[in-house]
Amino acid sequence: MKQPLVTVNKSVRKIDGLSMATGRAQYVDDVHVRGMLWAKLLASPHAHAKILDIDISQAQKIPGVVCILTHKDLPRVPHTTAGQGYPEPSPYDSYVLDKKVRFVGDRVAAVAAETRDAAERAVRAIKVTYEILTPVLDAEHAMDDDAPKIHDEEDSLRIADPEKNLAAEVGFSVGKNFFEDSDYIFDRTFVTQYAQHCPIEPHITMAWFDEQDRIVIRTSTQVPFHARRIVAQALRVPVKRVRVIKPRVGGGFGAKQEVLNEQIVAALALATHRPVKLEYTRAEETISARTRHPMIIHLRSGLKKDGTITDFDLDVISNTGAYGTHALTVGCNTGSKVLPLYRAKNVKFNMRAVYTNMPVGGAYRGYGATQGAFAMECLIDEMAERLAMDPLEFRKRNHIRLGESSPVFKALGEGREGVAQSIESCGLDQCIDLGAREIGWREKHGKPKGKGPIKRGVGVACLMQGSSIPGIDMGAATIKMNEDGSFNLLMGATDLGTGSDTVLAQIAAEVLGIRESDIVVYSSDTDMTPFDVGAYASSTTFLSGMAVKKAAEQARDQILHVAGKMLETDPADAILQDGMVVMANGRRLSLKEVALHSLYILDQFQIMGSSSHITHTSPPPFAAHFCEVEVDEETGQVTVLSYVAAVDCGTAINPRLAEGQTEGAVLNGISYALVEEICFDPKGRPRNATWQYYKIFNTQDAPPIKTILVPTWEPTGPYGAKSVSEISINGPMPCIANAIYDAIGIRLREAPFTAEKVLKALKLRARGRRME
Amino acid sequence: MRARLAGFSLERPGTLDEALGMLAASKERLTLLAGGTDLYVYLNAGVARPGRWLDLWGLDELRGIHEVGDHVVLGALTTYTELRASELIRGALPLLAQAAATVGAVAIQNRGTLGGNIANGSPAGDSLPPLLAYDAEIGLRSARGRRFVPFDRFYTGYRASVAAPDELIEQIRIPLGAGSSSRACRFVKVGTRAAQAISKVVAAFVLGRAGDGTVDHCRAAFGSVAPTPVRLRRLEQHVIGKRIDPALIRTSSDVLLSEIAPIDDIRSTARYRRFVARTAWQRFMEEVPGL
Repeated sequence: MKQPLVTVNKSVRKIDGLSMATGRAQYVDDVHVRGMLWAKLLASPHAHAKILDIDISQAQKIPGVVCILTHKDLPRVPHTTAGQGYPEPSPYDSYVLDKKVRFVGDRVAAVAAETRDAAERAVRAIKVTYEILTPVLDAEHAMDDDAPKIHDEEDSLRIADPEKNLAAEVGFSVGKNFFEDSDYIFDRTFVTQYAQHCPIEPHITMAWFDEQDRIVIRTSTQVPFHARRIVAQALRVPVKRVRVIKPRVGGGFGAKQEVLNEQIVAALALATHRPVKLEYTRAEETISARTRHPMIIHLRSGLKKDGTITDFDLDVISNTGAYGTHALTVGCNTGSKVLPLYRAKNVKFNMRAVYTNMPVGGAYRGYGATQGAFAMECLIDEMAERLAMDPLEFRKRNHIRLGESSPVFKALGEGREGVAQSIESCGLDQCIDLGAREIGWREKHGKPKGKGPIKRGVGVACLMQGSSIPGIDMGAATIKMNEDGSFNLLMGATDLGTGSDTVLAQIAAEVLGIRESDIVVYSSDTDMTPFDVGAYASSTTFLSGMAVKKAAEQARDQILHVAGKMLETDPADAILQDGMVVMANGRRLSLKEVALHSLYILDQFQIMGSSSHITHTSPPPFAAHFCEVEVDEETGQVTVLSYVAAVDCGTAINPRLAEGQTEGAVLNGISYALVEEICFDPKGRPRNATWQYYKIFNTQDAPPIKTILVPTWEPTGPYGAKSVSEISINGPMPCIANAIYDAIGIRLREAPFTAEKVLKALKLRARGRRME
Repeated sequence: MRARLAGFSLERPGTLDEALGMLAASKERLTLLAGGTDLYVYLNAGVARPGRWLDLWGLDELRGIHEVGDHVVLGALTTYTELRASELIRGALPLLAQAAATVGAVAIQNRGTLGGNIANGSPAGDSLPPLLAYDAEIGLRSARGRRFVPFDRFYTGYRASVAAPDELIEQIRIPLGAGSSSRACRFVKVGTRAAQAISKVVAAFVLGRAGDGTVDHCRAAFGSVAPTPVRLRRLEQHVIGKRIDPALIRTSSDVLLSEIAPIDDIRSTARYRRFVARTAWQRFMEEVPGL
């Protein structure tokens, strides 16, 4: 029996919203541990060099300097900084400190000092003798025979082919006789750029010893449990001696699905037996942390005159930078979260992630699907145009439907073979229809618009993502009842500001017939909460939400059992409602009475539930994005006038938060599409590593963004929910590119679409026309 | 904060005379602090010049927007917020109000001052082209007295000016008729995003015509196209006495391009700057009312 939903699918207030708005929320930096030292890392000025000698004698003399660590002081343990499940699908090619530096910003040494000033001065006083090596700064040539070898060390593990600077490679092919049945063949190359997550709170980590001599790490992370495991591995200490606490987090976007600084801060705490804190500056965040993998995407497709897509052949070169963190899995997603969206009998995929002496790619919202969707949705538009078919109609004819499967699901998973699945919820057609109506597609698309040099156009992109990693990811939760009928909900699931604490409390409240404000949420702490893989792969609502639901159901069953005994009534068909147990015969008891009875009166026990959840499918959310742009043909300036994101995320547990996730992702994506790019000098040094020069769009740049939530029911998710957090970042780049084409008839395949680049394309066309 | 604060001292004179006395008595060049929107950034980045700083913020003698005779007189400490809000400026000198509205973000507009923007001397300063286009004069004051320098002769090179070490900017004086509503005018800012973006190109134009339709007044001022904000005098001369027509727009654009020398930097390219500078001028000319 499906009861009407009371708490779920309601826009309840974010449970931590008030404390954040009033400045009382506790982030990493909001506690101070007595005797805390400041840490600072010495970053390599060279893209590729061997460290011949490090002289710390001058630095040690600076007053206040307590400890300086170099590669000579630490165990040499190959590991990955990717915060992924064990065994990680990323190569073990990183060392806490190494004898070699592989990009500008790579770490050379670590200092802990009594003041930040002393730490910074000490870092400058360390003398390093480098043997400078030729850097690899071009992903396309990284695999050349004469390219310098970036990972020539012998102890790294699971690198696909270090001789060829190949961090990871994956591919599959289904079908046969490629391109033989097609009437048209399309062959295009798309290029995406380096971009940074720019969380408001940069990476920050503290470590100290507790009274039992265990290392306590308070850190801004998406993956507290992976952080515990990887710190233990890298420093060769037992897991039981490490505790990781995740307080409030000021944004992650994937940057913090990385065990980046926890190892070195813990190492400094171990070496000094003092509390240590390391906070990245904004420049360090850009130079030394993680980025979005730039990709060169070669996409070929075959098309029949009747509008059937016959073939896809997707070939990807992904630049993973100096280390292969997330290299394989991000590249897998470029295929697995993009290719299944449209039916084709022949599908081929090949992805090579190459090392370069450039910043390190990592997890970034969208996780490779963002880059792949750019290529796919632009090409789909071009295919529709060839047939003179409306791009919406063409997409509707070819996209995957309810009950259908795709061979891609089985062929390609996260770093290994995937899991066969069929689509059990899909609202894409409705997304297309509602979005088209909102943007005014029929009136605007393909029609000449604008006056003088200012041209207008509309564009569309359809999207899918996943929800969690099937067969791999696990989330767990514990819930226990208190005297007043309130509950403690203890979760490993990691709220980064996303609102997952609120969403998960709503799910528990729905099961227990109470309000979300009667649930005290604690997340996450490896000593206090059950395991959860963490906040990534669009999994928290879908995966951890199911764990919470199951734990709450256990508590509910115990409540009904106690209430049944108290009322001497069979609790079958009883319900929990408004904080009461209501029996089928109408008799009722408050949860408070049940709690007091169970804790103090008779057959005392703690009413509590604890459950884990894994998933065997990864149901895709779907979306149709639309935008209208204005292109100034005389300045190249592209302005997004309005944006519509119609999203099928199943049941939105909290519609307002789902809209917030969508709007945030869209603005992030518009900024990525139009202006964001890390630029380098010829030696591989970033030229715009601070926010003075790396500009991200803010609220004043945001066009009106309209989110339309299209409800469907996903049977494998809690109360019908699927994911919503990542999908919408994939839309703006292709959507805007298609709208630019509609406006000025030029297809841009190299992002970002800066005014300079658009103007150049316009001039090239004008020159071409003159030549004709 | 990268700067080591031990290397800095901050003094806070109570009156303008006291400040002028300190300037006169000092052997080293003092750093003058107004709203701090540039200097605090330098301090944080570790590139501020150590030494004695003089905080002018409390000197009310340097505030206020007044009509004095046939001039508008602006105190050097006039903030962008005050420029935006002033009825007098919005009516008589609208380009200045528009420029003030595009500077940084609201918090910066509350602290940033016109005098500070001039003294900092960035070629990209948003308020500077309107001042050039309005024939502003800079009132410099020292214990020795007061003198006025036409703004287009104020800078001597990249971030260098005629101000002597003992002088401070007291006021900015602009002829009331400079922004006359009978003249066409336009402020243009090309940046990466809507706010808090240093301009790729910034420009201010003022153009007046005689009864017979010929141009009798023209000011074209640009930022971010040369080491200092510049008035394009050859361009101005080229259009004066002529009627605006497609030929003039074309020939004047060529003059414009010969008169600017932008560079490639992280914000944009020289090529692009040249192109949008020309486009901004052409559009202004094409859209002069009554054509």
